[in-house]
Amino acid sequence: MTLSDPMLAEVAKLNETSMPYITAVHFRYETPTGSELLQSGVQKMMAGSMTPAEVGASLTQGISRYFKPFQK
Amino acid sequence: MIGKNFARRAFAALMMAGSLGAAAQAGEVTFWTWRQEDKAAYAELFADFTKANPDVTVKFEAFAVESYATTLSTALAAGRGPDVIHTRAYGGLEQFAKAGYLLALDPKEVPELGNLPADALASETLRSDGKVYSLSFASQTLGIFINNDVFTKAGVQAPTTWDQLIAVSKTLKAAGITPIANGMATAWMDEVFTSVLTNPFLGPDFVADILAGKANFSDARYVAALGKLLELRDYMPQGFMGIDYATGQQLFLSGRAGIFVGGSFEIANFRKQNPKINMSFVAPPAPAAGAPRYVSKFYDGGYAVNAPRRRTRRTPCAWCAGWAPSSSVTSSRRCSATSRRSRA
Amino acid sequence: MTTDRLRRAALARRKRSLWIAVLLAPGLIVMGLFVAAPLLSAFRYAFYSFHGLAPADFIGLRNFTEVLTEAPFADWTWRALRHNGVVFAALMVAQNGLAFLIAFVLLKALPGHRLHQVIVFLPVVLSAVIVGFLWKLFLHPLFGLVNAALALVGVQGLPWLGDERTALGAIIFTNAWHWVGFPALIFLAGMQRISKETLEAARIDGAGDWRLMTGIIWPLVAPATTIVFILTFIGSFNWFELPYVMAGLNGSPGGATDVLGLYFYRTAFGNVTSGLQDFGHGSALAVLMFLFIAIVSGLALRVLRRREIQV
Repeated sequence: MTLSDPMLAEVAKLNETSMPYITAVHFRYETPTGSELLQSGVQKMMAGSMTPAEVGASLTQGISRYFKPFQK
Repeated sequence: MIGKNFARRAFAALMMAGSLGAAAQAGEVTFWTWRQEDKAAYAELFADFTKANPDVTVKFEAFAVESYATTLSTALAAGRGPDVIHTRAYGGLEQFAKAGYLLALDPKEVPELGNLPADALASETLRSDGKVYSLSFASQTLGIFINNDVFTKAGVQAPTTWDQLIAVSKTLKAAGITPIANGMATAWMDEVFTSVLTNPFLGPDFVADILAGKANFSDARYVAALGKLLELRDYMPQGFMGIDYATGQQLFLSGRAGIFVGGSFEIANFRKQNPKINMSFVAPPAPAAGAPRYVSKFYDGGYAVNAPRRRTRRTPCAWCAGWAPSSSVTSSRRCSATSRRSRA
Repeated sequence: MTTDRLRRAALARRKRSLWIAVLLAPGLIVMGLFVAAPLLSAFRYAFYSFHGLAPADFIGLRNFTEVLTEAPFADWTWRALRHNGVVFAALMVAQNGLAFLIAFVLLKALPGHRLHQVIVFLPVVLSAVIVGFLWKLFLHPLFGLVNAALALVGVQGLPWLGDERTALGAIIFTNAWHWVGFPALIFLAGMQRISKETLEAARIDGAGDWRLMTGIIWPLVAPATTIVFILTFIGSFNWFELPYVMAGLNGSPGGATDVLGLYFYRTAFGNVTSGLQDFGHGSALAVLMFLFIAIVSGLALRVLRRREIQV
């Protein structure tokens, strides 16, 4: 079975240089999920009512509820 | 997601513990999924399976995507539910596995597990006991779609660096074309958008640092990467805060926009909506020329076995039906070989 | 003779009660099964921690303290409650105020008032999902009627549902458009019950429209106001369909349209694309919403009823 579809072959090629979809792969196990924090943070950032640093801080703070390494 | 062209790539009917020989226990196996759109392909797959195991028939039931998890958890809590379950990955799997609803898959009984890459296995593993509970069925890759016709007409090439992305966007905008089709109104797409465009700035090292506790999301790398997104606001549709996912797709498909940030799950859908579209799927731009252009990758879900039901009912043929990830060539080749063997 | 008659009467009474019980039973069973039982189980779940989807340990009030006092859940709870409050206030003033005026104008039975009555009430019969979808299209930043109309007069419209400043207002507006006919009808019915003599007497005494409306009609439609107030209160704090259709489960953009209904729903039932099912917090939220709405409507009913009696 080979991928006759050139586009799917393209995707397979792209996967050779891949990294995880971070928030979904690592931070969707407990609430608040990294995903929900990031989604609303980025919406606010793009609307101009939150800075990138604030979005990062809200992710860290929310995730620290259950992710030990962030509880410092 | 798995496209239309996947049907024949089925590596289905992988028999499980005590069921291979005990297929004598005839009956009906039920299968639940949220993917109504795959019904025809499954029908074909099940027909093949029943041909190989004449005493077992498979019943397909699909539920609305929004209510699937609720319907499933309610059924499982009441001690019911299907024999074979289409599950999500990561946390979406873990909440079912943790509650004891799923059967841990034994690599001896499910040799297909050995063919899956480590990140696929991890996506269906319960972190607390390290066991795999679901057979991963598809990986998704997040990247950038280019409308080639639009690009050719404007005389620009797919960008390989961030600076090129900005330059291309300027040219497109000057030609009256919306450079980037995406808007911000659909929350989950914003996470996709962010991951696609920031990952090349972060790299796998950043992920390793996060997991090791050496960095958090206030890290200068992460904040700087998020900040890059702000540069794109000039090149998104007018009123982009109110542009939802569906509108973004339409802008791209109709050629009113040149770039769509999305995932490999769009491919089949895009082709269905506009069979004539001339598009390519490329990696996001690198921070600088020559730097790696990381795409973002994750697994969508898998096939699991309803544990309590199997104990009480001795599911005649507790199997996992699965299709190879459309993007992982090797595993699909191996798995289809296995399925031929098991059918023979 | 008399004892016989008495016995027969007692028998008839017992037969009657039995008959009533038989008639009530199906309703009671359905209510018990589908309303009381889930409510009670939500109450129970609110005190448990969850192991994945299965209830695990009794944890007392922890779910409650977490959604009320601990970040980020508490931020979301209070933000949602605040938005519900805004929705209630805005609907009371804009939607129900307008409804009162419409009812007053309809009461005057000007030519064509019957047609107007139908037009005002027409949107009410549409489902909230359809109305939400329609207005989402109308308010679309690129293809919407509203911004196209504004462009004709040279005004560049906003992405109404995408702008944090206007998103909630746009949904409230849609709600008012959809629903204004209902309070208008209740007010109109209340006004029509006021005797003609009272109104004519006021007119003869020289009361203008304003005086008539504020001095005579407003106090006399107090029962209608009570009903409208209570229904609007419950509707505003259970608000779900419109924001769900128009802003999505997350209350986009960035939670600017998040209300308790959405927050409860995505917590308890999970948001496919970002969240998990969190029955513990979800049940706690449901219990809090139930108590809040029940207590406040109960109090409001008492206060407003007293106002009716005084009139």
